[in-house]
Amino acid sequence: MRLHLALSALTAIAFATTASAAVSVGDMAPNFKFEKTWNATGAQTQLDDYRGKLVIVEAWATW
Amino acid sequence: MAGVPHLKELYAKYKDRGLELLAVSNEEESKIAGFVNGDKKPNYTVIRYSKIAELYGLKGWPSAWVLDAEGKVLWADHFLNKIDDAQWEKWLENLAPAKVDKELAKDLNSAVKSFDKGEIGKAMADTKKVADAATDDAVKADCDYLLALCDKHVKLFENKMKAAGDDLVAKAAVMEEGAAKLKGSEVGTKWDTEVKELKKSKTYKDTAASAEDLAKLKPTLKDLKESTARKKLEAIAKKYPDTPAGKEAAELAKDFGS
Repeated sequence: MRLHLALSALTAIAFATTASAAVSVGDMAPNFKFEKTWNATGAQTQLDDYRGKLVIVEAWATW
Repeated sequence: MAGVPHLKELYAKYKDRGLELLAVSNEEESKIAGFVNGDKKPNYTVIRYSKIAELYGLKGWPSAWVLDAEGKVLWADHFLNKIDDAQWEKWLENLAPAKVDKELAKDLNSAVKSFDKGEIGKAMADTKKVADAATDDAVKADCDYLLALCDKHVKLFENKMKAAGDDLVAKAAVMEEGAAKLKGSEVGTKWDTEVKELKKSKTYKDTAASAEDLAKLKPTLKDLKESTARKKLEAIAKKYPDTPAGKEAAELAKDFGS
């Protein structure tokens, strides 16, 4: 029972974090450093290196 | 993965106009590599970043964000094919002036450097060019500020020229100094032409010659006989009646009898 409660709490926190942190229109896109890139057009290593361009960030999955 | 053909088409269509497509996955490197090297052959950039879902508050896969030149989110949703060509066109058109203004901001910085070095004319001309091309209000305001500072220098020289009055030698000297300081600008070129014309004129030559004659004569006056001193002063006054030195000589002559 205690374990079940703890898990619920964790799920709730995870959900809350996800919901509140959703990057929306008008926000500044959070910068992040790439761990690995393929087909890059230059020596960019992080999102901010693309300033000056119209940038699409697409979060995708192979599954 | 559905949608790859659409993404490839989208990227191919707009990449030369400033579009970048970054497909970010949090999966293992080998899985992503398998996709990149597989039969889908993405033409766009593929990135591994393991915390993308957390950082962007992902609500489902796929999710996409369109960012402007400054990194601000213009659009956030799941499927990019909801965006029509007219919208892409609009965003790309807005992108162009932002890039231009960035270049202009650099040009303005070099104008500020010229100003700091005392090359006011160069700073003025470069700033005017930037002001004409700028669309961004912040860049325009910076231009106005710098031009006002340059204008203070112009005014300073103009006041000195006015103060010189009909002493054309002093006026020409100020003008030459001003032309050098404001070299490269319209007003600098104007003064450069004007001072050259002025120095060629008879009035200027007379002013310079009479001033020189009087300057030579003055220290010797006390050793001369009154009548000789008077005659010499009157000669300058008669030869150059309309010059400051000629007028001064006429006044001085009165002190040596009649």
